[in-house]
Amino acid sequence: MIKSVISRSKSVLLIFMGVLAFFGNDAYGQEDKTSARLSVEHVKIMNENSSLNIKAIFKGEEGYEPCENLNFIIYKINEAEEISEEDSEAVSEEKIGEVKTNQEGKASFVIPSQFVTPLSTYSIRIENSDTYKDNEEDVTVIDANLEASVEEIDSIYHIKARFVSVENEPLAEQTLKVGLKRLFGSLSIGEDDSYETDEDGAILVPIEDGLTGVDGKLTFQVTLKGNDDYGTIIAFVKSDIGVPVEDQSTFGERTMWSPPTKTPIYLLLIANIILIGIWGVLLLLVINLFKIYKSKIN
Amino acid sequence: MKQYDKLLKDLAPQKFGIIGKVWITFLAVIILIALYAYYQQFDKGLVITGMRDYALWGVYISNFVFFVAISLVGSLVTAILRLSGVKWATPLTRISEVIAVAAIMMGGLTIIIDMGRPDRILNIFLHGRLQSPIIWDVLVITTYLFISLLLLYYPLLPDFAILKKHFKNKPKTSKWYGKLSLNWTGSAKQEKIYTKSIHTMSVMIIPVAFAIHTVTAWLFATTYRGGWDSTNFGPYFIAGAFVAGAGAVVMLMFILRETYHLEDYITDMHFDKMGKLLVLLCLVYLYFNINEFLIPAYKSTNEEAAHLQGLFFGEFSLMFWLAIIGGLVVPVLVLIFRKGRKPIPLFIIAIIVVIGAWWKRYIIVTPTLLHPLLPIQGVPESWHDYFPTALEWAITFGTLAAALLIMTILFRYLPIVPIHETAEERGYLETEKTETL
Repeated sequence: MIKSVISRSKSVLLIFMGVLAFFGNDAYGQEDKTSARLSVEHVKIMNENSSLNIKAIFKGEEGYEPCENLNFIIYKINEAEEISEEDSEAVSEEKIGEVKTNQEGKASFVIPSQFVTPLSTYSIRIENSDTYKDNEEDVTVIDANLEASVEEIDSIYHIKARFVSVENEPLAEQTLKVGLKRLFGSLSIGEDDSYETDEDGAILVPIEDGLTGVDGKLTFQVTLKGNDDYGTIIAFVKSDIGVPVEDQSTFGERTMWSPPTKTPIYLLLIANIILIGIWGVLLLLVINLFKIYKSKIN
Repeated sequence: MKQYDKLLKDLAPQKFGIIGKVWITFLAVIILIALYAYYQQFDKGLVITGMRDYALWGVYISNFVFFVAISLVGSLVTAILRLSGVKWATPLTRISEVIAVAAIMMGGLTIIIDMGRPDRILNIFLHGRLQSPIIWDVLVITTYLFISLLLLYYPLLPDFAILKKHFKNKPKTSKWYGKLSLNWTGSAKQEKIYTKSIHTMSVMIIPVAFAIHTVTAWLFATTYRGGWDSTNFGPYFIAGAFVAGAGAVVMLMFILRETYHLEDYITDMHFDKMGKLLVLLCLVYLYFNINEFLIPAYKSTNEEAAHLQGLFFGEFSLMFWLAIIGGLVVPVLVLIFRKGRKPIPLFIIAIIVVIGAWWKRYIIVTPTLLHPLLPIQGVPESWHDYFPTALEWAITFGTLAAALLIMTILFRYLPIVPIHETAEERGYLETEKTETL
């Protein structure tokens, strides 16, 4: 009786292990992996490049944490009318590159210029990662141009920007931000936080006087931020209209805050005169001890 | 001759009795515990202390300021009173000089204790910036230590010669005193050099003493921190130092008088005079305290208001009011009465003054650091406050014990009251010379 129970249990176990070995490995592996949450922003910098800024996070024990060293494969999804009917499955998407996240879970992929088209769809995918489950995020953008320049109108400098499609059609009622590029960000220009394009797709923003820059050089920045159709587009305008920054550095001079080799001369003199004066007297006092020692007879 | 012999017998150094030996053992035990604690600190670093990013100066620095303050008494009693022609202070000169030497030695050592990497001490001299008050402090402490040693040694020359003769039945002791006396015979030439040298030192030690404590004050006052940003800090520190030093002298006067039966030399008159002097010094220091607290309280900038709130009503209020009322107001109220200036009440008041002076340094150093100009953010809760750890206390008490040990050893081998000067003032030397002739 007992023997038959044992042999039946063994058979069940063997069957179970066999099923696990045959089907379970892959399924179990995917379940064990972490789900990554993706966000992708398409950024076009005028006259430079277009890129995909990717951020990946996962829900860890201490809240959301960045996915480090996570590899993404980027595909360009071609429009249906561009591909032949008989070969639709094979050519509907094309791998255009790979990119890996940094410690902050961020990655930036510069899109090769040959893959930038008037209407582009990109698919950003996690494939066969050891740690994260397969996932993908698609981004579709319509290409457009943002032209910006500095113009003097009635003795006041203005930022003039025009937002147009690739066919040079004005794009009205779009919100643009105007700023002055600084070391750690952008300084808002004009009275408002943002400006809406008129029927010519244009904005005109006066620039206040007294903005400072190295050698008077200023870099203005006009931005269409996170637009549903066009993504983010940034245009930089360089100009020489700023007030030159005067270099007031005391580097290499003798100051109270310079290194030991650059002590101010007056301080060196005063301190050394005092020190030599006092220690000179102390030396004489020590000599006097010798004199006392030697003068016992007198 | 009889009077001179009695004077010699009374004032010549004496061997430790049983109390002295117990005292030495007690100090040695504290120092050994401190050495163990310092070994821990040397091995593990300043992490064993309560100091962190904000309270980066703690009990070591307040202890250092206390030592420097106490050491100033050498210049007060020896130099200022000597140059003012105050004769009654003669029996107190040696005591104050010994306090000055012991305190400044331990003050310098305390700075090294406060260093996280004492093995890099040479870097101070190799890479120190003359623009930094810390370097001024190093220079001035070294100078003050040297001049204090000279000021202790010079007046001892005639005493050593006297002791050489006195201990002639103990050849070894006599030989040592002879060597230390530098062949002193009291010849006209020796007297001339001696008098001139002591006078020079007495004049010179005053600016150096003022400099040492002013520079210590500048370590704080050259910053913009609430409670430290004051142009008055130098004189404020000096006034406080004289109070602490005078308190320390009174304490030692009493203990030494009782231990070595020096009632004929350190009399009630000396206590009365020191009591009066202490009242004057306390009043001057109170004046500086009012200046230091009233004006910032009136202006009440954000930093000063937070700092003063902590001192007057906050976590440091108990220490603050004990230091001000106990350490300054009560002494004035007690010592303005003649009975308050009797040895025992004055001794008790002196103990309170010295303890108050120690805590006063603590509340000068620590509260300011806990009220930085920017809010304390993003650091562990324990970094918001500071209180010394047991190991820090052990090291601090070790330095205090070491200072007391230096004093004890010096008083074992040196005459507590200057023999030569006392004999001269009392006219015993003339009698002795006449009788010898």
